[in-house]
Amino acid sequence: MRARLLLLLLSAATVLTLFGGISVGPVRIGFADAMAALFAPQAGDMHATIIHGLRLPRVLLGYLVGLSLALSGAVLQGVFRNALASPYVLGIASGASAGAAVTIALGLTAFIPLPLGAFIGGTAAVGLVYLVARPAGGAPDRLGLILAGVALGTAFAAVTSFIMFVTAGDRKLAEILFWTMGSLGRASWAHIWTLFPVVLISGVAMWSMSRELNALSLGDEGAFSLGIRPEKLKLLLLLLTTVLTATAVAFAGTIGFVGLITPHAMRIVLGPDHRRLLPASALTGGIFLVWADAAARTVLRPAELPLGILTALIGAPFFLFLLRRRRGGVLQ
Amino acid sequence: MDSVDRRFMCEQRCLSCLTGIRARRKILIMDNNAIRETRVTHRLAAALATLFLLAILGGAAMGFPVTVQDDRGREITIPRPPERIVVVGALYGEIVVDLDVADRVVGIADSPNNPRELQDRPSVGPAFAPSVESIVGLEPDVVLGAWGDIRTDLERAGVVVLTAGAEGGYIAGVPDIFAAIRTVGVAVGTPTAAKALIGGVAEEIVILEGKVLGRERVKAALLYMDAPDSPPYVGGSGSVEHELLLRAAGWNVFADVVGFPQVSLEEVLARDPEVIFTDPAQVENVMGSDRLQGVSAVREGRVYPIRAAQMTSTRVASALREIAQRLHPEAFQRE
Amino acid sequence: MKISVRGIEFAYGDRQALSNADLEVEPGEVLALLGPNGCGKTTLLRHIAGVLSPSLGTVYLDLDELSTLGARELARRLAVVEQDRRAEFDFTSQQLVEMGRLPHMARMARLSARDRRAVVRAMELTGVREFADRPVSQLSGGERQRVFLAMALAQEPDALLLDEPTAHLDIHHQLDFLGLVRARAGDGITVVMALHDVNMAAAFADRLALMRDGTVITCGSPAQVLSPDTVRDAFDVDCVMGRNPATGSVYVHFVPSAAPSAREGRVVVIGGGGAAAPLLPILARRHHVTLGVVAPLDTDYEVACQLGIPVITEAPFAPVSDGPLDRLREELQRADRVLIAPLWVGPGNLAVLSMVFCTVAPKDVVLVDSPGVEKRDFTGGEATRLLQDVLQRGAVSMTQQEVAGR
Repeated sequence: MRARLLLLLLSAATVLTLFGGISVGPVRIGFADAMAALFAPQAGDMHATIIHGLRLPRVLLGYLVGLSLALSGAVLQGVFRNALASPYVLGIASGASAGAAVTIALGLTAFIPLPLGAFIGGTAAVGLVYLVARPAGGAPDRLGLILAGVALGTAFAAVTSFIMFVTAGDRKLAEILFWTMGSLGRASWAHIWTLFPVVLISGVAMWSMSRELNALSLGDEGAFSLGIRPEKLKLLLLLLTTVLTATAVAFAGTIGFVGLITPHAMRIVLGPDHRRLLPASALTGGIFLVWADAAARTVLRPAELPLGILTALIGAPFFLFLLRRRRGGVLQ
Repeated sequence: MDSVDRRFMCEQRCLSCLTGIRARRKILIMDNNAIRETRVTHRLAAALATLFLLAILGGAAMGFPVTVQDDRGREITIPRPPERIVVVGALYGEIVVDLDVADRVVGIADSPNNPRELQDRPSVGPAFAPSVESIVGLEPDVVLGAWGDIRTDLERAGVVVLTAGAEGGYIAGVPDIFAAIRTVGVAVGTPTAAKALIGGVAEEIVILEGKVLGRERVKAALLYMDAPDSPPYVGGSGSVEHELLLRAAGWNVFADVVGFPQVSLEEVLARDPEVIFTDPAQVENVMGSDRLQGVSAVREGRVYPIRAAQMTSTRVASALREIAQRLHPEAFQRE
Repeated sequence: MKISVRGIEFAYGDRQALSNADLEVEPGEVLALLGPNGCGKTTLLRHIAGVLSPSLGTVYLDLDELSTLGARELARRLAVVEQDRRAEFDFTSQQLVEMGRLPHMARMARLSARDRRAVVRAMELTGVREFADRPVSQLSGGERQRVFLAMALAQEPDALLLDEPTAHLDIHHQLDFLGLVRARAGDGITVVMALHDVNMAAAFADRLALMRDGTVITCGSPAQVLSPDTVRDAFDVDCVMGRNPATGSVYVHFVPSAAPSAREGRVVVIGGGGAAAPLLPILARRHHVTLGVVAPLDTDYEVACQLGIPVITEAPFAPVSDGPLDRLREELQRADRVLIAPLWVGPGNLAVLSMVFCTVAPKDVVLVDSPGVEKRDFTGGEATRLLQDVLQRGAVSMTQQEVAGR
């Protein structure tokens, strides 16, 4: 089966990517040396410090973040019945940026780890969007959610801009700006131990609802006629994607286009069945982000290009290409 | 006395402390010839003894390991004189050059203000965002000037980072520059040179202040404008710029604000500085600004360039000189 | 499965959509819901499907109250086919039909053998196996609706609800589709479908339920339910009842109606033997029409009755007697125009013609399709002569089309 083959290939590519990502960096370490440092590290060896302390957590974080964004994007595209939805459609990115900006500006970074501030900002934004989008008593409809997301996203972005204005001329401004551009540079093992269980639990949970997601594309009433409660399902999926995305954004800043392009491309290749689409998107997203980060680290070595810029540079033309394809193509 | 003598006297004092031998001193004071002969013999003995001590202590004769306080108030321990130094920030580059340890610099973060002597060193990325991995890859004994997340990551990777000044390595005034010089001097094992450097700069500053002491303070401002008629960023209190204006017998019209906020053009008009200092590339912006024509400084053409990097630098005295000359030209006419 | 709807009330905001709606559907029967837009057909169906809850009243499936059933349980008993449903993403026909097994499957389970059999059977019954792997966007409207029917059948439901499933299909596919549905009812599945086409309903349903303003105004077999009165009541439209010669089912001929005030002038139509039938509806729209002299068995008589046109009658096969003739004369004297339909003239009704030409001025006489009169003349040429005579004296000759145009 085509899908099975692709998933196998992606798994193999994952392994290759992880090893490849570790071998790449501003300090030239040969592949053999890298593998030696990875599996037989010697205390105090500079290579070991770099590989274990810096590159390995970074590559793993990059994979998990890419996976989270792509998976969330795929699920949200199913929930919103729109192949152009992204994980940031409900204002998570702006909320997380505002959360991070507030944390930095108020000097709270000593008490609250920056990722936590961003996480709170992101989830608060989505919660607010959900509440605002409800018509009197009842679940919000898709259009309401998207509009509320746009409106509140703009509001949060204004908050972030205001904070940047207030801290202008201060070093804090540079910190805030750098965070919003997205970077895996601050990866640490603590981040990975936090992100990994979140990814595992929400990922498996979402995948188990693939069939219901498929049915959701028939419309709320169509799904209901197949025995699904669409409102409960949508709420649960929104919750899971929000937690997953907010955690990823909290650690890596806002990295765009991965969550939009990856599931989109996978749907063209594999078709819309979420049982295959979700794992394929997840793996591809992780692989893509690791290589993008590798490029970001080496293209301007020893300076690092912010990751969000690189994904935008790759993603935007691809997105335009998909838009053009839409008119004559398979998508409805 | 020249420096060789100074060192000899040092060694003698150390030896007498350790071994209780005092006799050699007397011979020194007796007569010149005797001094010269004895000097050679005693120098040899002293040198051997010192080497012996070095071997035993396993540490430098300068008192290593040393402990210094960094900008966070944390104690940083330097176990032995650093042989591999990485510099982040032009100020630390200058200090290192001035303290004559430039040959120990193995990597430097890019900055247009880096001293000429260090520009051939391997780069570790831009000064505002150096690459942690590149720094670690150079296996430095100490990294000077890193702060924030970069410092956290470096320390996590086991690298010793030393930054001085106000929180975050910010240089808020001349004392911070001195603190940086002193801290680095102790850390690299040249505390005396550091003291001398500080002394030299302080001396220059005192002399310049003396020239303008008691003169009527001239209203001045430091501002930056990206384009003519765009609201400027002004230097308020809590900055080196502000301090220098005061030391040059000037008065900062924006003393009531802190840091570098953006203000409206009206504010500049209202406060009406007589002299304006700005970045060399922005002098035209200020002079050509239509709406600032009402400001005394602009009207009389007293808008002068000053490089920001010159003020957070070991050359801060020369910056003060330029400022004082602009504010009180008559005090410098005799030169 | 028996479906009972008892006294349902429901409002969308302040618009009352259903008031005291009642319905009983027997197991295995096909019931069609009919009515104009806004009558509540769709709302009623959505109540039976469990999508909406009434503010008053209950829906029962067999002996169970609908509101007590869980979504999955409901989906195992009931399947829904909407009009022109679209899938947002491009699944293949096979994938869509397989979704129909969702109510029977556990969370991450694979399709069991039983599931596969149900899917295959559903696809064979609806004839969609041939394009099983084709994405649904590449199917025609008719094929797509069949796939959705297959999906519904894969649920192995006891009842099928269809909401105007043939709305956008062309006639070939409409007949196809409804035929498939009808056949499933033969297997014991109860079918409730909302249709807009009255005649399709009459042809494919066992019983019809006519709705208006949120209530079921009448329910029964097509013959019982459909009559000009009920049709006018429900649809506010005139009609003439007929029979579909091919299927034998009741057939409703709709007549565009006009307000009485739009009628001008009095026209007497002389007809018989079905000659006037095509003209009567058109004339009745524009004028006050009276028909004479026809027998009660005559087609013209039936049409006239359905249109509400007064008729002057005579006993069948009898020559026209004085009574009807007198009445006719009265009408003629009041009439503005007289229209002679291309009727067959025999000795029995020759008197009618002669009386007309004596009473009415020739200019007020319209002869329809007069050129063929010889063929219709069984009076030995007498009728022809009369007609030609009146033509010469100034009567107007028109074809049927011209009458329709004017």
